[in-house]
Amino acid sequence: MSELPADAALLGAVADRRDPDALAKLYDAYGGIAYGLTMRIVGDPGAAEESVQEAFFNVWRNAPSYRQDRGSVRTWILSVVHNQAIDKLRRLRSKQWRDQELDAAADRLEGPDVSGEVLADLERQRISEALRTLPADQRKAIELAYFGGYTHSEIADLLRIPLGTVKGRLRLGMDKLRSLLAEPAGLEWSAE
Amino acid sequence: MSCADVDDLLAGLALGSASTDERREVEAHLASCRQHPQLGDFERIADMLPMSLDPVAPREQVKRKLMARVYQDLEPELVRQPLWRRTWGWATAAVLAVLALGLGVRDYAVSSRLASAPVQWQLQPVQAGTRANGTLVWLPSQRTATLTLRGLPALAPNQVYEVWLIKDGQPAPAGVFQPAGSDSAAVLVQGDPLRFDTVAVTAEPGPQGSQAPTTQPFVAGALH
Repeated sequence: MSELPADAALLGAVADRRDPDALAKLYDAYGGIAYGLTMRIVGDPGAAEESVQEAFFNVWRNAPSYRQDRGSVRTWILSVVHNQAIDKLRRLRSKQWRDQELDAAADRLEGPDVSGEVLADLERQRISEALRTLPADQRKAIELAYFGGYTHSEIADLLRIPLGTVKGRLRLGMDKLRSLLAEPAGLEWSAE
Repeated sequence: MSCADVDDLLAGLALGSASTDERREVEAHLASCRQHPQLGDFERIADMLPMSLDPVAPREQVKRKLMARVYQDLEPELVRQPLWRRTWGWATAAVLAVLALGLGVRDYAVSSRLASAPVQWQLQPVQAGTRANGTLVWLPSQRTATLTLRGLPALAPNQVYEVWLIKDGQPAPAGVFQPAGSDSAAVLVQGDPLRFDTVAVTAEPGPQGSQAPTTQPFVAGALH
């Protein structure tokens, strides 16, 4: 989970000097993962583009609120992107979705991103493999919560399971991810 | 709320699935209890989840629209206005550049930012009874023009809005758009506004618009 040392300098330039070129460089660095994340959450290309644009505009406006002790620049930017995408999804859902469409939504959230394709990036591979290691019911609960923006009670309705079971699956799944991802990524390289 | 209840909710809190009430109750508990260090770990795990996904390149226009908004947000500190203000801006850039070179002024970046700063023009309604207005922004560094419009009049069925860049009375089509369910829009304009003297918007037959205007413009602005 390392980041380029330049990230902090770029975000500092946005915060201190309102430097548009610095924001453009942060967008170039993280626009792809931001759009990938937003597409996974929102599902619609047009809505995802609007959401990403809004998220990076929030980065532009709120850069002074970033605190280094709360995480890396990348983590902060992606949390802004995630929050914006969930807001967008909930607005779309309240506007367009009907109850009978929830099952289809659950199927969509079982995306292909963690299901076996060869991933070149070590970090992505490591996190994807950790997710894939989880029992299917725990992984599904985590995906519905994080990528689907559902509350505990909505997940319970969606999966037709008791509320306590939802909380239990989330807790067990996150505990397992915590143990799987505790080691730094670089330790997984082995010498030839 | 007991410690056991809180432990049940920490994963959901980190993942964003706790309800507002659950979040409030957990946060109240954590304010006076130090028995739940796993929340920080769960938050770090949640922050890692986006990295499980493959990056997907968004279309180039997402960045263009973003940067257009950013430059508009910099107004009035950076964006120059048309007419005398634009002339004044270029003159200021030139003076700053001379100062930077001749006097060793450290912040030469100020002059270079002004030299590449966007240019902005306002559009006003040109028909009685319409309230449409807008702003056209030209980004020299990206050679991109973005038009934002508000108060668009309703379209007839099968009509679209079309942007025109006009020079010496000759309109050139510069983009077609049809915002869904809104009287506002932000569109990319095809062409370099600095080469024209007027920008205007009309309602045209959809979906492709026209090669020459078939109706009178409802909003327009001078590009001087």
